[in-house]
Amino acid sequence: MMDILLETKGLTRVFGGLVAVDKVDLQIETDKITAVIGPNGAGKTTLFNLITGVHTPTDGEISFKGKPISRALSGSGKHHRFRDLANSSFNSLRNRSYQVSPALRTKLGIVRTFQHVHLFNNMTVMENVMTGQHPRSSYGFLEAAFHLPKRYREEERIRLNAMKYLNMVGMGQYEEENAMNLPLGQQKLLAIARALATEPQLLLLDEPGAGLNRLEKRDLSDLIRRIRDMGITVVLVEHDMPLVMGLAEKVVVLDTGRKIAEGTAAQVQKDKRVIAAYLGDDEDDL
Amino acid sequence: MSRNMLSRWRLLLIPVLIILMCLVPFDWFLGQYKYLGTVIGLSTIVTVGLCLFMGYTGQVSLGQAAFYGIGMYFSAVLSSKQGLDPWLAMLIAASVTAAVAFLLGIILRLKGNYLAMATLAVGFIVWKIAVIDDMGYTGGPDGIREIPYLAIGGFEFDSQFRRYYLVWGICLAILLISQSIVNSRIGRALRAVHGSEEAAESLGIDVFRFKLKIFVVSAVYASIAGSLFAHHQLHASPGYFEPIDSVYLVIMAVIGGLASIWGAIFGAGAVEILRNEILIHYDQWNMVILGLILMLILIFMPEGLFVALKMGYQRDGVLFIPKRIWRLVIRLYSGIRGFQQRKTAKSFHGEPDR
Amino acid sequence: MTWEQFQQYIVIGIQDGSIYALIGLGFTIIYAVTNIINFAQGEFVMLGGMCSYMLVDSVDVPTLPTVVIALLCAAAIGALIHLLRNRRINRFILGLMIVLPLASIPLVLFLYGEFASVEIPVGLASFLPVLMVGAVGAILYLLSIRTARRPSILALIIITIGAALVIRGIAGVLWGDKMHRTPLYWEERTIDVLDATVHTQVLWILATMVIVAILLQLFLSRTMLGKSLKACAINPVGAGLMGINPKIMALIAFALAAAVGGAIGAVMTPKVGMTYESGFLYGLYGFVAASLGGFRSPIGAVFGGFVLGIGRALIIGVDWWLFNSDYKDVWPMVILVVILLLRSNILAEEERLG
Repeated sequence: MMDILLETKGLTRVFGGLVAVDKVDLQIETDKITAVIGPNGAGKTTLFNLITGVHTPTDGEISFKGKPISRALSGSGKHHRFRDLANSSFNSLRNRSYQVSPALRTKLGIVRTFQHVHLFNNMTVMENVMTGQHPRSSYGFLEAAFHLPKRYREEERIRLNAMKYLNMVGMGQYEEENAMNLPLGQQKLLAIARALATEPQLLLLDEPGAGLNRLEKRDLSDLIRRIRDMGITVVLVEHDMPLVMGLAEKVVVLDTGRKIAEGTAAQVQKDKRVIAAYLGDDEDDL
Repeated sequence: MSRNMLSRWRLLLIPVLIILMCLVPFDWFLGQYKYLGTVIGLSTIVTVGLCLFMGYTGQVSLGQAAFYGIGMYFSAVLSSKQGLDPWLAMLIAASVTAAVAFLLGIILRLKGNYLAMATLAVGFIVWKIAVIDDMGYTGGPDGIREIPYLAIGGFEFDSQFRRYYLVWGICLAILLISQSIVNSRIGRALRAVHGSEEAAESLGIDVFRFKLKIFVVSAVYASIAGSLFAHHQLHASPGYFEPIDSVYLVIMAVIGGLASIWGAIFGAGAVEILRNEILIHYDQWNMVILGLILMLILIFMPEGLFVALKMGYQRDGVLFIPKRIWRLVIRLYSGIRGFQQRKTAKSFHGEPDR
Repeated sequence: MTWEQFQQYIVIGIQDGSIYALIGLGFTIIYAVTNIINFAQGEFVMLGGMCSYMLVDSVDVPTLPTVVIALLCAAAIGALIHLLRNRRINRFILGLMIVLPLASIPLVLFLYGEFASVEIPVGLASFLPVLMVGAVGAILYLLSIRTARRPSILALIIITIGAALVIRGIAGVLWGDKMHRTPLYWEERTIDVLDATVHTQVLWILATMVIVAILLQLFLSRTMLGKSLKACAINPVGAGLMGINPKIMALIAFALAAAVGGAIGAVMTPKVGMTYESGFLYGLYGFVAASLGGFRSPIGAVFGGFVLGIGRALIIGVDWWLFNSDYKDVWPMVILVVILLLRSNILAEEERLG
């Protein structure tokens, strides 16, 4: 029995004249590793941005664990700013358009990593991961300022958890290192540890393998499988075909914003439309 | 000198500094500076708030003087004309300031530094309202005079001597509280926002709300300082928080370091001493020199003077000064020595052998 | 308010409005091209007035050529501020900065027709701005070579704040705190338009505004340089890819904005007078004007300037409740804050829509 953790219906995002994501229907099944592939500019990162709430969809809806987290009005092609602004506020009141904020989505259990890592360079490795525990802790200004016991209890737990995730990615011994001093491979691991610290149910990895060598990619694959075994659903965007094929249980192919194929790695590999989309670029990899 | 030796030296330095600061108001020591010392303490309180705000949000507030003024006036009016307990008045003043900052802070949603203009405008508005005194509350340009002392239990802070300790006590408490906040989960969230807003948002940190919160906190700090000032100067007037004072506060924050807490003392001290002692008769030179300092720091050490010195030390500098400058000094010195040697050589022996 | 009074207020409004329009315009140019909020814009205006006063007072030189010199000096200082932030020396620009004010001397002498007998006062009066710019340029040269860090927008904005402070301070040192007036261009006369009286200098101010606006429009839309400037404003990255050097564009933007400010300062000083502190308020009005126009549009700023000017004049005229001459300066600031607040809310909605 496969549960659907995240679902999108008719998800569309238009930037001015460019349709970045075009009526995409997606079903992400729980406890599976899903890969989203496609040539450059296919809209994969925009898709992630829509799921995490960084961008608002122009049309379509997204639901997580059965509940809607994003619902947009259907709009006509052109936007008349003032009218749409008025409509949007009005419709928010009437509950027709609905957006859960990115921070809240993380609390619900959706987290992502970035193509360009985006570590907190002003902190140590340990502090980076501890920041990931932010949505799972709750003490505020008052407890922090006046050293109330709640602070110490939670800090203890945060530190332990952070250590756990750091060890999980194999970076335990680097805890006091400054994040900006790390080589790329370790930065990516740190980013994953940090994301794991939010105790997510859905982990979106944006090109986790980019810039890694073969050994590192192999370790990455193992890590992703271990994450899946922990009960976390993983979706990754990747360009490295062997990595994807070896890892993913389901592959979704996007091209210029549209979903053009989905299925197992083997099925997608043979799909004529997919090959055409890549225009023979990655044929040898396939 | 090894680093270990220097850290121990630093550990000794701090208690010595504290003792020295406690001794200042005594007449046999630096008693004539106790007023200045108190003013530095008050400015430090405002500066810490500003340092934290500017450091973690990357925005400028040019209106801290306005929050200072609101604190000053509400404390003054409520405690003198309405006869409220001064501490209660301070609390009310802080609440009003917090509300104003909260409303204003919506502008933090905007990318780009629009808050700078908004706070500048607010600084002007608050000052002008105090000057105009349309409804007779603020006492116009002369201000309010009969302000009661602050007191704890029966102990009144009725002398400059006592108030010095009061202000610095509160200042120290605020510095420690700020340090606590920065070391906590909140501080991590703030540093995360500073490090990468995108990544922070992806980890469940509501960037806008944090920016707003730290803005309100900085405003409240300024308000507390303003209230304390009212009970210290025993006079509240618009002259104490003109719009340009907000710029001076920014300079203090920049000198101290934009995310630094203890550097605020340094920044506030430097500017206040410059303004009140060294350049007191040269109001315009004040502007020139402080403006130049501001520009130079931002060109060369955007992270702030105090922090740069500290960092220079950590990078194996000696005595807080980065190695770069030592090398320059040494080169200059040997250059001069060499020049002198050649001169004497020539005068005694004609052309040197080599 | 009678019909006659109303017309008079409208006239005053238009006069003030044209001043605010140009200040806002100058601000908009820099902001659109570089995203920097130039807090020194008001000081450029002040400098224009002061330079023209200085040249008139020490030298019996007619005011028309002093306007030219004022323009050049203001532009030179604008380029200076840009270079200060840019921190890499461009010998061409440095040369330009020294040549331009220097070139103004023979220009003055030529216009004055006194090549043969060069009186010390004349030379000195024209030379002084040159010395100032030259000296600052030299210091700037030294500063520019050494730094190697990319400034953030926040740092740049604070640098303009510092620059404004320095300029104001130097002006205060050089010209004291008195108000200075330069001789009117035409003799003291008024003209009657309908039922209102219009001062002749106002016509000069309006004429300057129109000429500058038209020249600017032509420059931006007809010349290659102007179009590059606009391109940089719309999309700096794209413009860079097309071979447009954003640093040169920024330099031109600063010089242009300073020149515009200087022009308006020089032409309004005969009527309104100038003190070293005047720049602050004018700069703030410039923000308000620009904000009414959407911050990035020069035409919007002109429109905003007139709305501001007329609105302010009417507030003085109406004299009802809080809309009276006491609060005439407060309301524009309130409008600025309100506009920014609205923008934040609308932006939040816009984000959601895309």
